[in-house]
Amino acid sequence: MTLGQAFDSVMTAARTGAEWAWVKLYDDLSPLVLGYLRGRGATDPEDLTGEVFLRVVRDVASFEGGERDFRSWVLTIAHHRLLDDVRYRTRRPAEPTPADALKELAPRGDVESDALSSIGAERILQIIATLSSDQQDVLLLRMVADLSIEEVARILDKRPGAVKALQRRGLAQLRKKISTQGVSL
Amino acid sequence: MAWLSKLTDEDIERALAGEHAGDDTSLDDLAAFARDAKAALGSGPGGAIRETHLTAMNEASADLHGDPVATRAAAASLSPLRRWKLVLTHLLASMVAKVALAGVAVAATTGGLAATGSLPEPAQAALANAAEKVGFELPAGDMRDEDGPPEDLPGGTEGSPTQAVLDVIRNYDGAKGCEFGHAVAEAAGGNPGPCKDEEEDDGRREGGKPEGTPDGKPEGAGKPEGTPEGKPEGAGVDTGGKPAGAPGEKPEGAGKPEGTPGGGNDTGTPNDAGSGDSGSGGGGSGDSGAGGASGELPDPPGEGKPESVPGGKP
Repeated sequence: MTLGQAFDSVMTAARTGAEWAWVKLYDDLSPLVLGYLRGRGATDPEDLTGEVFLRVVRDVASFEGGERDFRSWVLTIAHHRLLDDVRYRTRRPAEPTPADALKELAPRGDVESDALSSIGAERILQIIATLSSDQQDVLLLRMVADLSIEEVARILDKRPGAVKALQRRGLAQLRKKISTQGVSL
Repeated sequence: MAWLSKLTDEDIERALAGEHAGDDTSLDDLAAFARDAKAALGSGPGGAIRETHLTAMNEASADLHGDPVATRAAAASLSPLRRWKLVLTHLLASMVAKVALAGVAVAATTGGLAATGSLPEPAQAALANAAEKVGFELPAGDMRDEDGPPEDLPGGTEGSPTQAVLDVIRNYDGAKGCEFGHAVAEAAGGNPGPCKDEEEDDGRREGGKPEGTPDGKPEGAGKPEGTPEGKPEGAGVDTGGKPAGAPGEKPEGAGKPEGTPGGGNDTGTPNDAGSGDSGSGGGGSGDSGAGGASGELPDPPGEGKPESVPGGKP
């Protein structure tokens, strides 16, 4: 989903604090941010997503560019926030989850489809977790966020050639894992 | 990875987009995985989480546009753990600021007191020493003259006991505490008892020939320590005496004090044990201030013939 030609007006409204504009931007980009953070194994991807968008709101005045640039910019914030979270967890591992939070996470609605979806997502995350961190970054940003090699290179602060090499090695690793485990969703 | 080198970038792009890679079935698995990954990971936060995020974003946006409450509200909409982190961060920043402010205040106060020399003496001395090393000059804290009287004593009516006491204090020359106290008490018109040393001397005298005085004179009886012989106690005895071991040095204000009946009793033994001032003669009778004042004071009891020093001879 993209905003297309409406992007400029949405951004202008968001900069002035229009609530509807932020809703549009959030609905457009939050799936990409949450998918990337979840795929990278963040401890609390939903909470991190909220922090990413709070940062977006605070720093939006400094942004310049079009819709794809904005997408790259938001995912750059998400990437940096993820690195902060990884460092934080390294220093202070294991935070017990409160019982109330576990209740909120319990499945609701169609239990069967939720369970199947959950199992499929779990297996995908397991396969992605076998890749290196850089390969995970590249493939998730390429597959989930639909970013180009150059955009991924900017986000990860790497050269496009390095990103392409990471992508090739990651795909080879993925194919190997898929052929041995199989992914049937 | 040999199969991958045969693929073009376009093939790889199509596989990553989840599209079928043409005749090459080797990419089918990857394309299927990409599709599944998009489906599994491509959904955004829903329900309450979405509402919470949007509320926080709107409040943060309102904060940027002038609403001061928005930051707290945005923090409140986060999870309890994140909220606590934010609260602690603000609290810590505030505490650091308070501690820094208190430190500056203490430094300013201490510096001001040190500059005026108003700190307690040890602290003042330490600060002055430290400041001197870095090139500042502060009062050292030892400005108080422990060896002499203060210069800014209040005045008194001429001839009054107050004036006499002040004279004694002004002319204090470092005599022993008991003797100084006696001089002050006598100047004030009191009747001080004998000093402890004198009591001991009396005891020796009563007990017979004191040790170390072969001629039978009790030690210190005829002439108190540091005083010219024959001087009765109470006429500037203690304050004007020469310190032992400084023979020949004329004490300040030496001379016969006015009104001291013992002034003529210079017949005392110059070689008296412990006097040490045989060369000084009887003129060095003591403190002129005290002695001079004593003549104007009401006669202290025992003046002329003190109880402990009768007539300058034991």
